[in-house]
Amino acid sequence: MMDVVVRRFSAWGTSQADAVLASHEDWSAWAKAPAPLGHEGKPPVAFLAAAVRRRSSRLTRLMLESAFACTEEGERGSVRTVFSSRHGAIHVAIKILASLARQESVSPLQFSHSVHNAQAGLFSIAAGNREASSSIAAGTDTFAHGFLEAVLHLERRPEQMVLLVTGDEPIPDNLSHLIEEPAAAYATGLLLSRSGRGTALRFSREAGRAPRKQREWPDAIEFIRFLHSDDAELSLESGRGCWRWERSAL
Amino acid sequence: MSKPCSLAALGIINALGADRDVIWRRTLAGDTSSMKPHPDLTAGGDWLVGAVDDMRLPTLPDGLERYSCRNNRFTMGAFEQIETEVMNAVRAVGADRVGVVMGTSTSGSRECEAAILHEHHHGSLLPEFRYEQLELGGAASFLAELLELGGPALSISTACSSGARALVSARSLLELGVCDVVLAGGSDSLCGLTSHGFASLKAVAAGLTNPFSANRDGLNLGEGAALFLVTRENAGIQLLGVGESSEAHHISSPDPEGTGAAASMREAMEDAGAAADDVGYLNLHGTGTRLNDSMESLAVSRVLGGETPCSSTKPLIGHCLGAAGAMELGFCWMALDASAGQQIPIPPHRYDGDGDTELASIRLAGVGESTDRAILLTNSFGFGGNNCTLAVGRATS
Repeated sequence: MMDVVVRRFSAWGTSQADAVLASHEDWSAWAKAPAPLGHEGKPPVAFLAAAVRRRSSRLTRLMLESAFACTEEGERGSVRTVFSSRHGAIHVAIKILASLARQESVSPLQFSHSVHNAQAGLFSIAAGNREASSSIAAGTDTFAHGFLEAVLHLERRPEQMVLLVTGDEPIPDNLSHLIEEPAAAYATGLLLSRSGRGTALRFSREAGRAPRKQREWPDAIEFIRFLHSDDAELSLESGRGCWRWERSAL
Repeated sequence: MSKPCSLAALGIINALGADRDVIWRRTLAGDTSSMKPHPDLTAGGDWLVGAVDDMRLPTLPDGLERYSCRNNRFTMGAFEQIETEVMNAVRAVGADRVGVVMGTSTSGSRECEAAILHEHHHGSLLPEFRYEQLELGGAASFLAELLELGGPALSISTACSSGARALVSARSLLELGVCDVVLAGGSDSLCGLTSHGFASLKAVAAGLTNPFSANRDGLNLGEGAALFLVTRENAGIQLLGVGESSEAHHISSPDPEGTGAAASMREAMEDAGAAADDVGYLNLHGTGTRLNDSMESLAVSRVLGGETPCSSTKPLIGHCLGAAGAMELGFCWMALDASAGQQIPIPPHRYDGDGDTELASIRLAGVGESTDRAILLTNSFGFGGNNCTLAVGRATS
């Protein structure tokens, strides 16, 4: 059991009618009548230099938009970061594999952006951040494991804040029949610390075999809904354990 | 000081073999004869690579076929070497208190490559292809399902530092009390994506990789897995310190000044309570690219001075990417395990002997060297500018 404070949070996605959901007000309204998210949309990432923006994939735009939205100028260089994504740069990887199948050469730029920590690296460069960073994946249970990894950073360095960025997009069409998930193009940002002003939560996990409930939107978005609600707690089952966040008074 | 963190057992499989004693014997001899071309594993490439002998690979048990990939077969092979120790530890604390952290950069990219090639020729993916083979998280959940573990299971993928960073998270899971035992390590497999990717960056050596030589011209890729049983015992070989940093420099090349590398080394030593004089050996990241070796020698000479014996073990097994950090921690573990009295044998540095006078001066270990200084370090630096240094030594009390 661990005490964590959500100092600030952000999210970027679209509705199924392609309306952009970006501001606190957008998500507060969405949380009152939550509905599945859209598959499209590209955040503006106006803070990136034009040349960097042009080379940025949609996942990079999603994750960096959320990362910048929940951190202030003075914080960005000093937070530790966790980037969590189930699929990561799958679109880039599949493009490279298709080139290989056609016996064409691989683009060095594509290859450097195919690593799972590309978004963490691009954030580090854009924010001038030299702190510890981890990029993780854990299948359908990626968001909660990302939260756990962020808490592990807080354990090592209690005085430092941790920025947890979670994001994904629908996987390429030729693979989409292989999995069932609430596909969406989205990212969320959570700025976490051990103490301070914000939403204080008690985070815990219990082993258990309760099957995962199929939800209509990604876990990270369900967490955003929880933060906008008056609910006392949120539980997410994973098939191997149950994660719980309870509001607490620190 | 951190709480005790024991690396109680090591399973390891790479180009040198699938048996720890064989691997260690060939390591001390500086045996580079496993590095050969393997066009079947590199989408037709003729570069030298450190490939694992297919004959040594177990198949996955019934019911876990959806995880079947070369990567997970390496993990299974490493696990089988330490099965008795692992199962005893799992029984002692209960499966629900055991977690898994695996570092990987490829997971089943090789199997996806075959599926996409099939699609190119026949219009549809290979029918037996499953998403669990490909997805990064599968590297950890495979092991959790194999042993029916109830603890967290996550994959860390920070390119070439993944395997080292997995041990960092494993230690924190124990310190925070989330788990009582963690299985942690790294696994990566040769495939077309990484082979042709590094070739496109002109980072692959024409022949055998030649780290820290004036004539160095790039890396050789490798593959395999290293898996540690990590516990809270204050005995045996201990993970004493961890250091992490980001570069904030460039997506695929390090800061030429080695600032981030030096920062992660310093942090690991401080965490271990070690001064430069306590360090008996450093396993270098030592990829053999112009830039890595030049920035790493700067960082090493600045933090350790020019007298600490160092080696890159990549000329023996290749650069195992997402597994490299765990694999190279494995070399440090085997050195400590093989120590007799105060003397710890050191893996030799193999290259053409033509030291680069442009590089900051560091001492490259020869065959047959040993040290009596108790702390060993290993460096791992990844794309995206992700650095990690680990410090290990024997428990003192």
